[in-house]
Amino acid sequence: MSDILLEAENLAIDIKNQNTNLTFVDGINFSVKKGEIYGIVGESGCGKSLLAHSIAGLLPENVKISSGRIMFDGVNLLNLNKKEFRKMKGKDISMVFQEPLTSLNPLMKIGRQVSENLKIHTDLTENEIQKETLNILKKVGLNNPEELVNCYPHQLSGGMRQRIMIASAIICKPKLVIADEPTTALDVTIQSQILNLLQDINKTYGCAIIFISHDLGVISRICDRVAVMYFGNIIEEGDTKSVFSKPQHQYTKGLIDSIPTKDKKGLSLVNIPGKVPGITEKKEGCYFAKRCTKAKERCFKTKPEYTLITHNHKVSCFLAGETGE
Amino acid sequence: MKYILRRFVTLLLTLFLVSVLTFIAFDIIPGDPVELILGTQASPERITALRTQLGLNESLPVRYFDWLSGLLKFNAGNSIQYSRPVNSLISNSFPVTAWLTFISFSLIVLFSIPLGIFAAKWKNKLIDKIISTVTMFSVSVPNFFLGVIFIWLFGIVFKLFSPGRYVDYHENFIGFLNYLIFPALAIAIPNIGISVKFLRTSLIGQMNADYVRTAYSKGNGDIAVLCRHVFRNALAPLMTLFGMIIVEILSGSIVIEQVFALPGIGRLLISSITFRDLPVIESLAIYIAFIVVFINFAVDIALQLIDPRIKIK
Repeated sequence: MSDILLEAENLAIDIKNQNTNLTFVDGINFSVKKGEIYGIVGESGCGKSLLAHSIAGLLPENVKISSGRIMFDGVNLLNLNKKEFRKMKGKDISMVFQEPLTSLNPLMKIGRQVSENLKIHTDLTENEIQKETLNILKKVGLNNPEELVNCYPHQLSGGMRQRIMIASAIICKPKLVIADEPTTALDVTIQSQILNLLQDINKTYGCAIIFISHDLGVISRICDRVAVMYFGNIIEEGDTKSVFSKPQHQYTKGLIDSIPTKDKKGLSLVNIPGKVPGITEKKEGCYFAKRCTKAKERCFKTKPEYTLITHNHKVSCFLAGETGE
Repeated sequence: MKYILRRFVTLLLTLFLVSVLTFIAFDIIPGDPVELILGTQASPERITALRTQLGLNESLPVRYFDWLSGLLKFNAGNSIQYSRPVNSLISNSFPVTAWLTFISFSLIVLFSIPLGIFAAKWKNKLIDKIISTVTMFSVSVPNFFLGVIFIWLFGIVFKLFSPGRYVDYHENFIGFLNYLIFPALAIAIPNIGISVKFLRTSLIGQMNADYVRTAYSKGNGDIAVLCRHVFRNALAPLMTLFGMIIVEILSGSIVIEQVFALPGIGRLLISSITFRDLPVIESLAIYIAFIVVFINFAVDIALQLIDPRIKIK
């Protein structure tokens, strides 16, 4: 039990829109172990970023966590007041965002942005902070930190900016780094370098990483365990290997089949018919039933419970484990 | 360097155009300084004599180039109304207006920045609503009315200064500043209102930016996010507004200087226009054009210092 760092139980997130209150994300249960890389994958708008922001305490004003709890290192984050939570942000839990250009302050020098976490959370002297900043910049693979600290973000390339973001996220040696699509805005070669860097940091610092992406290839490459989200629900969760080699949910299967690979050359691309339902659509049965080619009558009526496939692979689908179709 | 040179050429061109246009405008509008000096009953001989003496019989281009060549020798001619060199008239009025500008602008900066930040921090809360109401009120009240109220309140009721008894800065500098605070306040209050609104809107607009979310993710509180991250990003529109405000006060707050009997640029402008005192008007037009171009230049430099992404071209 003690190797669990983060545990979300029955988490539900509401979005307030003028007078209506919509429960968008609900029934979320998952846990992240110390030092592991946990992937969350899903289409755009499935609620994965919302989930990440709820853990990091960055939900916008009209979005509220309506029930459940988030246990982090023995503390329920939802019971903390604003000030107590603030002391953990950037120190125990930090975030790396998708778009490094806009996520860095355009008018603040790199040095100040990277060292800010230290300034907020420690009583180090100016000199020690300076030293640590140069140190961390070297760690994330930036060669001339002395020059970089005096640069502004617009003077750097996309990859360098993302390294800066990562440097600032890990400078306090947090227990958990939430990376929200950290490679989506980068080109492929840079993407690969950033993934290596994240893995490297995961190993050297032993911090857990929640890695959010819509890119299955990226997820399968670096994550130990993965959760597949659809329409505000985790529909399948387990060991990355197990999930990718034996996907159980029709949605996961569809996603994996949609990856263009060498042996599918010449064939037309596979896709999942239909689109993610609108947020206001009535929730009943399995949310994926409308798009599922194998949906049966009960799929539309009752919501499937989780079935354990192996001790580290669970799925919420009636069709799971059925063979000979 | 090239940039500064180009700015300088623009400045000269602007000054030239302004001076030509002012000359033409005063040639077209009715009114004759000679009649104003001698009165309508004067004999035609005296009028002709004075016209020749003032050089008013020459054609427009000749008069213009006479004046221009004088100006190049730093001699802007004599005022028709006061029979004194224009140079000394302006150099006597300028310090009054300059100090007025300095005091009122300091007040504007001092009050509008914290109020703007408070309003943005507590957006749509009670503090914001109070600030909004007060600023709305301060923008709507005309400054001459404020001036009159101040004269009554601070001058007559509290006797903090003697209204109408302007203290010259040569004689008593402290007294001069003391006198100037009240007109400066009357100028500042409506401008504080506008500046607060500007800053609040600009700050709130920035609050949705991605880097703000990053700042919160590092453990910054609301005030730290606003002051350390958002403020500098929100400053550009305010700088432009500040430039406009300085230009406005420095080119002579005509109404306030009149209400408080301040012998500044604004008052000189009014009296010379009424008197068709062309040499003074010409010089003041040049002065105002210079202020506009110079302040705009200063604002450009300031904007670039705030945001290194802005490149002067």
